[in-house]
Amino acid sequence: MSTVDQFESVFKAAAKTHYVHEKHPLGKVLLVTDMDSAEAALYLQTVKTFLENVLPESETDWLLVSQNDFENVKDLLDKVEEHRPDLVITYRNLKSDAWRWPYSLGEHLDVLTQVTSTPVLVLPHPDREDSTDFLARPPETVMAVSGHLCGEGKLVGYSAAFTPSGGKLILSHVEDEATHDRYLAAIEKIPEIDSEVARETILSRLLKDAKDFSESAQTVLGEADLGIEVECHAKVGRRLEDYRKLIEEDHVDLLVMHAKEDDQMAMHGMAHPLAVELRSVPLLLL
Amino acid sequence: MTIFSPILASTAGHAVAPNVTYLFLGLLACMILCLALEEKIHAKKSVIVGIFSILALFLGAWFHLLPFGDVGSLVIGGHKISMPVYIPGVDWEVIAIILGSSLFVDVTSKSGLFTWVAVKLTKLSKGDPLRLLILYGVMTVVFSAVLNNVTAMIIVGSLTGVSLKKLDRSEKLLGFLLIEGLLTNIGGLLTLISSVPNIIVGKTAGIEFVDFFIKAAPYVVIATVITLWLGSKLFKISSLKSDEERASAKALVAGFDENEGIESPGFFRFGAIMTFVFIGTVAMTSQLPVINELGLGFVALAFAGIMLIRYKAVADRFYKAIDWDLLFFFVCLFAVINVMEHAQVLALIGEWLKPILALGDKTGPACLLVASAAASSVTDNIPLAAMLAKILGGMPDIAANPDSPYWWAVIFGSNLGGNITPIGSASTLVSVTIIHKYGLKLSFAGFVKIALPYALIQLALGVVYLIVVS
Repeated sequence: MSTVDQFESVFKAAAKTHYVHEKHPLGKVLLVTDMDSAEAALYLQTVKTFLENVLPESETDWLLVSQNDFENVKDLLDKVEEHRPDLVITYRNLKSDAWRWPYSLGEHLDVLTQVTSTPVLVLPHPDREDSTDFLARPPETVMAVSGHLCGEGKLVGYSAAFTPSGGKLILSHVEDEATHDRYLAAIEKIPEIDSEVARETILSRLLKDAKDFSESAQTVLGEADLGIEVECHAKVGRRLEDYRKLIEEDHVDLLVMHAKEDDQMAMHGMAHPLAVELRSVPLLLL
Repeated sequence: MTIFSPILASTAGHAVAPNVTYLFLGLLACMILCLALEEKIHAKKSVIVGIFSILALFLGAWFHLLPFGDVGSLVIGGHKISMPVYIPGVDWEVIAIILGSSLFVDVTSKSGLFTWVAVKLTKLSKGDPLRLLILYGVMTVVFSAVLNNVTAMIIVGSLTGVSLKKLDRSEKLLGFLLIEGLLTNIGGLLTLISSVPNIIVGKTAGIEFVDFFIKAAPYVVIATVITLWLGSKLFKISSLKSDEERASAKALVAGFDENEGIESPGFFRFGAIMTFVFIGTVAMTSQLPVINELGLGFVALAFAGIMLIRYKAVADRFYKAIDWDLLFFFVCLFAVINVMEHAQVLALIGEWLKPILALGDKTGPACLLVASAAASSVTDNIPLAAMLAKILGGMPDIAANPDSPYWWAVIFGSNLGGNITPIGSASTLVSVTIIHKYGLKLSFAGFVKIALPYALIQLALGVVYLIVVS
């Protein structure tokens, strides 16, 4: 006789999470720089050009915060609070030269990304020799990054908003191989759980949930007629390494990921290493 | 009419001292008490009845009640066959029906058919609680009738938990599960193979599948409508009021994918066709040449065998999943009842039933229905049905008449009695188990308090129906 649990599993699997498309407002944008006013104005033009396909001049109210507008983190937070923008654009290690080393985002960004609910677009540092290359052409390929893609409507929504018509949106989901192996090793030591069944089914189930959600997003975004191509990459691997590969293989121009986690003050587990180490790709931190 | 024949067919050959009969009656009472306290004594049904069958057989042999000579030299088709004394007493046809149909249902469920139907109906409700209650109620009744009431409760109950959580209506879960539990016993009345008491009594009485359905269906329809209406009122399950609520609920249930449980579309179609053919064959068994001689048990086992071809390499997984506790319970129960028959216990109980049966063709069946319901509410309805079927089968006037209202009194009583208490039937026990699984508190008394109005209405309706149609 089939048990309640078996049927419940089938019905839980059947109760899929579907993507619901919501438009996120991006009409008011605040660019934060540590440059002087003249340099900042020039930089603003570069950024406007870089994002002209997704933030058209006619629909966007651009605000600028430059070197003299803030002294410390509190000043910056006050500025954000004062303007209440829909998007903050900046770069790592404001008012510091620590951008040269891949170990932090800098105190301003560390706090800003956690305190404000406003998405923060982190551009490569302007002092990098190759920084102009990154901003030379508008982003065409955008990648949404998640270890739990299923149900990440906000992530997909913002990613779609930053993918220009004719561009490609990649919904990526990498299950951490090390974590998976650790759980399987534990399962192998539990006589009540069939190790073979667990090995065969757990991973495929995890990836299927992500794929199903991506397919639903693909359908909904197609119906929304945004003119974007949506692709899904769901796999198991070593997260940072695999994301590096995906970024290189698909020539990703913008990464989108969650920076906040409900039960901790620090940056989202996977977002921190990615944000710190992937310094040559613009990042949208939600 | 002669209501009761004083001598049962099998008892003609020997006399039993009254004190021996009372000793065995005490043993039977103890077994029924232990079955009623199954949860308290933490023992499976098969073990409880198994122990009592060992005791009964030992004492039966000790008091020289058992026909060792007869079973030691059986001649069937010219061949001399020897078998243990406890084997002929078992109704193997009933065992074959239960084993075959549960295997058939289990393998067919792997095709995703039942979950497909369940999810389709969920989507059809558009997430409206009242519509969901009606559709789940009808599904419970139909699944109980076509599959069996325990499987029906498992399927509908587990879906109810998932869908109400998805719709953010978990506060209605208790009402839904309780009503579904009550409806399993009503659906269990619909066909000859819907519940074990139906199989046992129907087979003893010689009631045909189609006749059973025609007689039971009007009651099932009326009782289902009343139960759903009362349930929606008492548990305050109503339709959604605003367009916004309706749109939101519709979007939530639209997320269900009915194809999720389908491994292979080909096997899904095969499962659907086989289910219809199975029901058709069961309904037509008595009319089909060759099949009518092999019987319902053969039909159930044959269909299970055909379905198992799809899983021929892993058929052992299905054998492991068979409810051996239930099957051993039946085998041992039949052995116990057979000993009780030899010990004149059934004749004694038959004597006690005399006043009820003497009340006439209207009041007598009505009283038997209520008495059966009361008895099966506190203990397992299967021993009760098996025992009463054996007793009624020993009364020539009743045994010769498959339309006798006494058979229907036992069928209605043993099924509906399950709705009075949570231990009255296996399917209500499953509904309570699911209720507890979701962390909802419902005690024995709490169940009785909520379920009693429904049970009383259903019983009153059953009595009226029996009087009208008999």
